[in-house]
Amino acid sequence: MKVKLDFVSNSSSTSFVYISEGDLEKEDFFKAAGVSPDSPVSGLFGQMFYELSSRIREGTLLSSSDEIDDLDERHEFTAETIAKMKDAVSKGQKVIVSQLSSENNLPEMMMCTSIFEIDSDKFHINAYSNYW
Amino acid sequence: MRSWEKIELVIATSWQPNESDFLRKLKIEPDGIGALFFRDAFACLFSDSINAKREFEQYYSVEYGTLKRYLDGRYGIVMGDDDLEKESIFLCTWLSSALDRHYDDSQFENVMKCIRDLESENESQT
Repeated sequence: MKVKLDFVSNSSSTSFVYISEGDLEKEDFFKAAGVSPDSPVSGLFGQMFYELSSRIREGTLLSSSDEIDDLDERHEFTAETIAKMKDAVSKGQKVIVSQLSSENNLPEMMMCTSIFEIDSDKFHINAYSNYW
Repeated sequence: MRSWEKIELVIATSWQPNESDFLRKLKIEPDGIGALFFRDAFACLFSDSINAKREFEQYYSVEYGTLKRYLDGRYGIVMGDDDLEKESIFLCTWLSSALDRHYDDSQFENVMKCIRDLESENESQT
């Protein structure tokens, strides 16, 4: 029997959905996250905003219920989230599905490895598929 | 200490840990993902850590005699008199992601400053 001792890489990527009338704005993100812009840890959340914005830009825009039904990552979202996505599409809102990776940097890793939902009057992000 | 536990960090403080004050000092509202991430930081530093001074007083004072001998003998930790006189000594066996010093965006120093500031506030009130 051979035994290999080494670091175990537990990298992963997980899906999230962004629903909004428009683009993600930094001020709205901080407000929804409950973090003051002059918080001692605001730098971390500034980076989270930057990473989220980048991943949203790289994501897949869904414009019909059929596209949502055909989604490869469909199984990663709850029935409630799928219903919310379809409702948003019917109202002409942006519905974008994208991925977070645990390998890039701390802010993205923290989001990738957490189960979270951000609900505000400006946007909705659901990352409930981030089970570790 | 259980054999698999490694002490990642030692915090000697006279601040009585309180999650609400911790989040307030970090200017994070109690709801939202800001609190989600920094509740983890509070947990690893205080809720989940070993309260060494209390542990010594409750169970080991007869065996070791002094807190200094207890920390050295049981954990291999040598502390100066100033730190030994603090109200609490927390031994952290894990650190949350936000405090991971391997990353450029680690919030370790910011959180330690927050704790020092809370301790100073506490001292100025007493």
